[in-house]
Amino acid sequence: MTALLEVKDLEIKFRKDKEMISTVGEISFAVNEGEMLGIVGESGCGKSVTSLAIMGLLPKEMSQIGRNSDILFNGTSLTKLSDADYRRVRGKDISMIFQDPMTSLNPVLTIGYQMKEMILAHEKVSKRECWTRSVEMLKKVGIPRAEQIMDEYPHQLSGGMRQRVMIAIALTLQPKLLIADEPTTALDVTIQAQILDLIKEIQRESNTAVILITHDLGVVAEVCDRVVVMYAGKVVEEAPVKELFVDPKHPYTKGLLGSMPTLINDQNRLNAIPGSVPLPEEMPQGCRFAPRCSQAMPHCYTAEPPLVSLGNSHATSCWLYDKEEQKYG
Amino acid sequence: MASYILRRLFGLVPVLFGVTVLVFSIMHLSPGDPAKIILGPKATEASIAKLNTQLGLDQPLHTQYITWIGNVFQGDWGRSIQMKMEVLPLVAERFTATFILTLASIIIASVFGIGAGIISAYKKYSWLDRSMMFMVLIGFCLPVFWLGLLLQIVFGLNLDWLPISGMYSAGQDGFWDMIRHLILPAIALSAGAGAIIARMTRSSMVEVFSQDYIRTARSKGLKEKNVVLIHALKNAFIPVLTVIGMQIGFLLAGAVLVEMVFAWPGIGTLMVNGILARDFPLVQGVILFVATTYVAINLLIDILYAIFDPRISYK
Ligand SMILES: Nc1ncnc2c1ncn2[C@@H]1O[C@H](COP(=O)(O)OP(=O)(O)O)[C@@H](O)[C@H]1O
Ligand SMILES: [Mg+2]
Repeated sequence: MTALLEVKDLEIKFRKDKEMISTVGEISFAVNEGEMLGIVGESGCGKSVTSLAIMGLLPKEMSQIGRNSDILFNGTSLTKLSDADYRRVRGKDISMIFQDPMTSLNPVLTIGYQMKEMILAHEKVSKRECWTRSVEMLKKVGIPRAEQIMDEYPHQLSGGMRQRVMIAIALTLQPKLLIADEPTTALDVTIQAQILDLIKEIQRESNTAVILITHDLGVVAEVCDRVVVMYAGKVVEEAPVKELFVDPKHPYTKGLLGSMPTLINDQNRLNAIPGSVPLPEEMPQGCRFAPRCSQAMPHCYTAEPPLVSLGNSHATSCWLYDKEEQKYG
Repeated sequence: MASYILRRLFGLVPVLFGVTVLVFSIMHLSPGDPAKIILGPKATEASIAKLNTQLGLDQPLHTQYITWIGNVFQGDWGRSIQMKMEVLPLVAERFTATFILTLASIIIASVFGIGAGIISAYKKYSWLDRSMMFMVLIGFCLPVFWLGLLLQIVFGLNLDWLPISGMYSAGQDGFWDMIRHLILPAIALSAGAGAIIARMTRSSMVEVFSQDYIRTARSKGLKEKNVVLIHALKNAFIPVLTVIGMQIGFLLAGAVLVEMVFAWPGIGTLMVNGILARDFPLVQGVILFVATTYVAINLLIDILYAIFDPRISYK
């Protein structure tokens, strides 16, 4: 498998009182063609910011990408693209759906308009064809009365329907990569499963690569092939999904798994990890997870652990495993 | 949409009733006996009584109102005491001039106000934003008549580019001649409204730019022009429209001053003369006309709301 998207040493800084504060620190990961990659981590770990960086949508005046950072898409460096060229990539090659379908669609434009403008931004086609393709797409994502809905406004649809519309818009031009940032978080539980199934189905059918961002490992277990676990702006573990659930390495991943509600353990997060994600301006020295880690050693508070491969496409950044590597060679 | 407009129209009935009652009461709220005031201090008892009967002022109030409103609906707005003419055609003719002046001002104020507001919001905190908002502050603070005089001195007297008074040059009635006469008074009148529209546009656009659907629009690879002028502006426009609607009222009031400064033959000059001459039917006519126009403009704005925001007609 060849990598479709390669994120290399991505560092994202935000301006805070004239200072640039590093929010995401030199992370690397790749997405293969047709693959479904999950990115998990608690709220505030930098998942959304990372996806916006890939889309080239970080606020220009407020933020900055590290000098050694690079994002390669099909071998082309996105970070070096001009505004006009980046615009041609967005929507056509990489598209995105967002967490809240209530606020992500424009309230004063019809669904039809919001569907058609996506096509017209990238292709020269007749109005008629635009309309036909949009309706087709709406039907494909399971929207009944697709023709009528073209003339309706977002507020006339339910949350689930809106998210279907968002998915339809994002997939209209058959992008090679879809980034879904918490696409089900704002929806009812029953609708969540439907939307996940839809994304999975479309991904299989059209061989689109998907980055599914979530704070919910349950979602990952259901649909992803591979998982990247992020903590406080760092990748702490990366593994195929089965491997991660069977043999998690990083104490943070174990913590996340432990706090998952299961049939036996549905007592609202009895085993939740104590403490909370540090703010970018208050990043601890050494391993960023150390202050919350039950297995932290003195060493952890002073030096940052590197991401170390453990074989089987499994990697983690934790001193516990680094030692093991040294021991067994 | 049709039912929304119908509902708005019905809503106007009490408003218009209130307006007519108010206009009707002007005659009766003014201190003293109207007939006495009209005829002046040297009038005899007999002539006052005669005028009272002639004006129907000896009838009970509600009868007077019904007669008056009946006449108003039939187009009989009374006769101007001073000008010895029918009020309605007189007011209508003069109103055309005021309408042209106000319309020109609101167009200038909207175009420059909205344009400046959009650029300021898009380039928030840049020097461009700051200098534009500084100019807006000046535009807001300048008194209308002072700005009018300044324009007259600079562009009329010193540079001699444009005429400074009246609506047409002597012996002419061409369209472009009128436009040349219109420019300075329209600018003088538009400054304050333009400043307020610019500020409202800026704050409304700044708010909209932070919304999720703007990020969605950009994620589709739309041109910035479409993101700003379609996705953002269409959402930001409702509060701007409200401000424009409110400004039309102020502009009609401000027109009185500007018309005096530039000798623009509009309703403002007519009204001032009417008040000074205690020409009640004329003053009533002017107020009724302006108030009705104002109500009609507000109806138009309400309809525009529904066009710009589809959620409104469902509420
Ligand atoms: N526009 C911004 N300006 C400054 N800081 C930001 C901005 N957007 C996000 N951040 C910071 O980036 C960090 C990661 O945020 P985010 O990517 O939204 O987390 P996640 O999606 O994992 O919940 C947060 O600590 C947040 O404060
Ligand atoms: Mg997020």
